[in-house]
Amino acid sequence: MATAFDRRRIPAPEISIPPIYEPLLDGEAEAGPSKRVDRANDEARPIFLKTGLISQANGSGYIESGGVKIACSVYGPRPKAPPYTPQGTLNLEVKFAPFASDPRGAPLRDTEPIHLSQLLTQSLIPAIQLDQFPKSSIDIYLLILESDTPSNVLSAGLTVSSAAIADAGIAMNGLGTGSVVLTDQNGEILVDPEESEEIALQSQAQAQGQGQGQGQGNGAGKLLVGALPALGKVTNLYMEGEVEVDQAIQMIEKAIAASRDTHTVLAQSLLEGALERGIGGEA
Amino acid sequence: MFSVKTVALSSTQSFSDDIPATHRKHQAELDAMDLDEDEFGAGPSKRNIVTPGEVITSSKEYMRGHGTYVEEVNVVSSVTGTIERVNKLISVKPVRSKYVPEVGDLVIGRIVEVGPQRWRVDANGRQDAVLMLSSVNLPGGVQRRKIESDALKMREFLAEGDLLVAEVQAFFGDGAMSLHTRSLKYGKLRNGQLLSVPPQLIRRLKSHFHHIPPPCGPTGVDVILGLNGYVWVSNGTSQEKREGGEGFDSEGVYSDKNDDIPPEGRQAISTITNLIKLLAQEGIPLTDTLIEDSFNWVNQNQLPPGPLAPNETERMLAEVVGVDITA
Repeated sequence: MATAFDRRRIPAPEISIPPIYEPLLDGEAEAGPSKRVDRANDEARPIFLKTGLISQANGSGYIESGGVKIACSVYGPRPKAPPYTPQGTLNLEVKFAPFASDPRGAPLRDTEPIHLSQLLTQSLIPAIQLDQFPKSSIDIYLLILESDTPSNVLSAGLTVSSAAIADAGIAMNGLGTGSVVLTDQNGEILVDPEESEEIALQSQAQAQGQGQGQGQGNGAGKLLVGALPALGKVTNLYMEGEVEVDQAIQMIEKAIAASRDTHTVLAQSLLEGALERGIGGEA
Repeated sequence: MFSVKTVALSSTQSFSDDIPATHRKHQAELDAMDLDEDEFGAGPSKRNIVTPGEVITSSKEYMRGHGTYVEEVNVVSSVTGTIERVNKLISVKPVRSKYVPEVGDLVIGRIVEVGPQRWRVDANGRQDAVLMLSSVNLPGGVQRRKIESDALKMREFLAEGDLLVAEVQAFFGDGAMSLHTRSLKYGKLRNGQLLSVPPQLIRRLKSHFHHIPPPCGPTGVDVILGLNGYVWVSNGTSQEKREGGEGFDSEGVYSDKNDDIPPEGRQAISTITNLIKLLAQEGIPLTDTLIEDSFNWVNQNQLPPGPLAPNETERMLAEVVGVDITA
């Protein structure tokens, strides 16, 4: 049994006891990711975003968005090995910390994030002026410290990587932001859904799929939009599920509206980052 | 498929129609448009700061400079930074970025590769810089032709990891810089330590070689402020020795051996290094007088050797630079 023992890991103690907390007082809010009770259905999730925390990187960002925490570092533009490329290349790597997912992921096994990094790269490329960086590469590393659903990770990942790229002083067309929109079984549109809301949708859809034929009911789906809110452009749309066209339009519009709010926060955190370096003055 | 396409278009349109003023317009735009001639060359307090994608002004009246691009009829910022304006030219200076070289800049670099007739040098730029064998002075002092045997001995002059101070001579087509060390002021560095600060903090000065005289160490301390953000702090020498006067060792230009530096000299080097680090940490632009003033402050207050205590740092910054970091 003990043959596959990884000596690089620190083994957990044999007995572990969960900590005991004092019960919450009446009306006291529980710590942790924001819950839907704090906001309306079409309101973007409040986020925490800070740039410049990783000192050795050329640019960095850290985001907390609901149940997602990501540290992102950007290196570059730096010289790239031959062959010659007239445009810069973007290398993006997404890694999950072993403790980032529930259940705990196996260490040193990161095949899962490949499609995440592909989707993220697609959403990011229109935001960066890669034609300004011939023969160079820009390397982005996202370390997921905590995650709930892949779509939330993607949307937060897009926001934080734009922040980090802007922090590195790399020329961009605009700041990319991500937002997720979900239509539940009652036709209700939820912006930036929580994990529980998404799970509810999935289980309902499964139940319905078994019970009835296809194309019944209101339709339910999930939509991820990558946008450049300052320019009014959409960089990526990723949709799962089955909804009417009108409903889909509505979802896209809600997602875009939410991405504008996120953009305000993103721009603000960049300005704060600049002020911290003593630049900007009273501006 | 077709219907989805039309949908996307209409939603994009409605999206850009009602973009809030905070995203599209900036105070700077209004300021820049209604600019009086008196406000020309706006000082630091007038400066405004923008984020990527923010519209700065109309491209009909202004030209786009670095850090901006033109989108439809607008000049739009492409980096986070401060708006700089020269006449009709609008540019945005990034808060933090890699070093953007200009011809004539003094830089400090590290050799990363020895290649055919050239060295590749890391100078904190987007691309590695190139130092051609034909643009260095070889031992012997006098100008002489480079022959094949010199090309074979390149690693004896400068090997991987060696540090050097050089000047930007020209650019290649891809923006990489070509360096030269054709002056006795330039060349291999030794007897000191390198530190790296954001390149934005180094201003173009009359001279980038500074000598802080004793009591800063027995022979003083030399500081070279490279415009690429690399700073070299070394044991002090006299100006003649540095620039080819009396006592200049023309054969020792490419020497790998450090001189004997007494403990007091080493102490002085690290004191200066610590001070530069502190100033850079607070985003204060570095000049020779500032470094010297802060050393004099440390000297007058007779502080113990080693890094400054946090409260001493506060006092030093307040008294020397006039910056209050407690707030």
